[in-house]
Amino acid sequence: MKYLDSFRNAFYSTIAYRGNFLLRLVTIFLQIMVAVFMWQTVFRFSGKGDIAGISRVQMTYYLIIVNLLSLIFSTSLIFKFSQLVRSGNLTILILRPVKLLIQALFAYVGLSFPYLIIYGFVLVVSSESSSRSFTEILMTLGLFAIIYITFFLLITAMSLVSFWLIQVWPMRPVINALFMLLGGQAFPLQVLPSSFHWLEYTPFALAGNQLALLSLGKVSSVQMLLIFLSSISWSLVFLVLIKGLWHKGIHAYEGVGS
Amino acid sequence: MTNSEKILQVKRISFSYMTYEKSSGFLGSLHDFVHRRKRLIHAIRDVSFSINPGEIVGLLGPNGAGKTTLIKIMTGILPVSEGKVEAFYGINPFEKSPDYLKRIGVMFGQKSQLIWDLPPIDTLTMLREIYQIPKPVFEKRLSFFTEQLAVSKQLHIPVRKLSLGQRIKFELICAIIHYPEILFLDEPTIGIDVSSQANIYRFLREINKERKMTIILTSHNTKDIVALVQRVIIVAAGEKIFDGTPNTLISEHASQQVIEVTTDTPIVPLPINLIELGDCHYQFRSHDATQLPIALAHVLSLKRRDGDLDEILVGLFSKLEGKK
Repeated sequence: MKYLDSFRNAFYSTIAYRGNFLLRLVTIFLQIMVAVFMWQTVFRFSGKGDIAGISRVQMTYYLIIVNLLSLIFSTSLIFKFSQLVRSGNLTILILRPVKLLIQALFAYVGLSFPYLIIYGFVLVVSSESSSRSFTEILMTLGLFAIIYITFFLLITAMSLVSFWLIQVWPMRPVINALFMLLGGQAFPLQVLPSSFHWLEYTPFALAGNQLALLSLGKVSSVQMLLIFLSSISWSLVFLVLIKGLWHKGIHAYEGVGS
Repeated sequence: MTNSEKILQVKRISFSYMTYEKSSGFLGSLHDFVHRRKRLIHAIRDVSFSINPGEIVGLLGPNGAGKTTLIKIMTGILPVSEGKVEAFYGINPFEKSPDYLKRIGVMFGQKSQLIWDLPPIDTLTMLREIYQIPKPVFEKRLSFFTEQLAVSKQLHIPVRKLSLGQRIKFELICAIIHYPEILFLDEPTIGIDVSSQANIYRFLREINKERKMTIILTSHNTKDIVALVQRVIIVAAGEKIFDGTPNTLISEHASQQVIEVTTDTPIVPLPINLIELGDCHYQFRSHDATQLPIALAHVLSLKRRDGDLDEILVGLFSKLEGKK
């Protein structure tokens, strides 16, 4: 399978710089610590055993999982693609007889593969605290795969603006803020007033907040269906967007330099 | 040879693109922020030619002449504004059909398809899968290529640790690992030493001879042209100004001999048609002799010789610059 090598090479590239890889893990560990200690304080001073139906232990697992998810749902593709357009190196890729979107998906999985393994490990540990059936676990994994593809399509659509925007780096803090806020990296979206609950079905929330809750078994069957439907709908929207942007972008692409 | 036998046909193509002009200074920058001045650039104007199977064709021209744009159009990166490009008897390269992409190989001297953090073998293995080359065939080819280009030992070293010459050689291997029918090379020897250049020339000649691979290359290095090509297409300001063999080019444009002169005192100011080669050592074309302010009393030596390809191109390009 010609795309498996893209996965393999991306995976090898992620672990090629051991220092960077470990530093990323340390950074995320510190982020988790900050969030966990903050919420421990909130629990202590509120005097409540649970907040928005989430217990203290579950909140800790939630924060660990949601922060690990921010590593898996990487936005680096946007900046890599921008670099390819700016340098003109995209030329080499578009002249290969492959479907670029599929190749990019395999590379995206390869880049996050080490974090997927860590996530899987945490999932196994956290699942011991919840009683879930095998079917529920399978459904969780299925939804994870669907949301993963949705998020990949979102990032791909965003990356295609590189055809027109020479500098995309100003988007980085915006995207990080979106993941922090909508993805529920600092707090579960369920603590927001009910008028904001529609935010739980935005792509960032699906990738962060909802997946973390799914992993903890805190999502009902109806919510699972809603997550599934919203994820499929978003994917369709992004696919149409990608097709249109690619078609226009490739005509605008000049393949900078020789 | 009939038109139907041409592997690549470029029919009256033109290519234009929009660019922006930037004003200088604070007010200029403010003005540009609100309103950008657009400018239409005609990069290629009404160019036609066709390439026969197995030919080695050199695209020559000064900087900004349109050579790379032509390569980009032929490979399918850029669409034409007018005219038509047909490869392999009816394929439009810009459609980038898998059938077309499998039959071409591309190497841009300033772009890389090697994965920077991994050894070349990883990129090549990926290409093996992409082009669906059977493993034994791939291994045989790879061993042949790496031996020919003297990079066998570097196959498992991360790309970032390789020298420029070694990287260029691996880029070339990546471009031909699937034995394309047409190989496009853009500045293939840029920045590499003479021995590596010679190695690449020998290798390309051999591949062309054995596989009848059509090679289209652009280069500023006339050594590439002399060593490899059977046909030269010269473009300047987006127009084709010459199409023929290197020998025809030399015989048509080397009618003027070059004269080297050494004087006892420097010539100041230096006239435009006099090229300074060293201290009190100059060169000019024989037909400019009467216009030059060189007093015979100061001449220490004179040498007459026929112009080489470099001089012909310098003369040709400066004439075109003058016309502009």
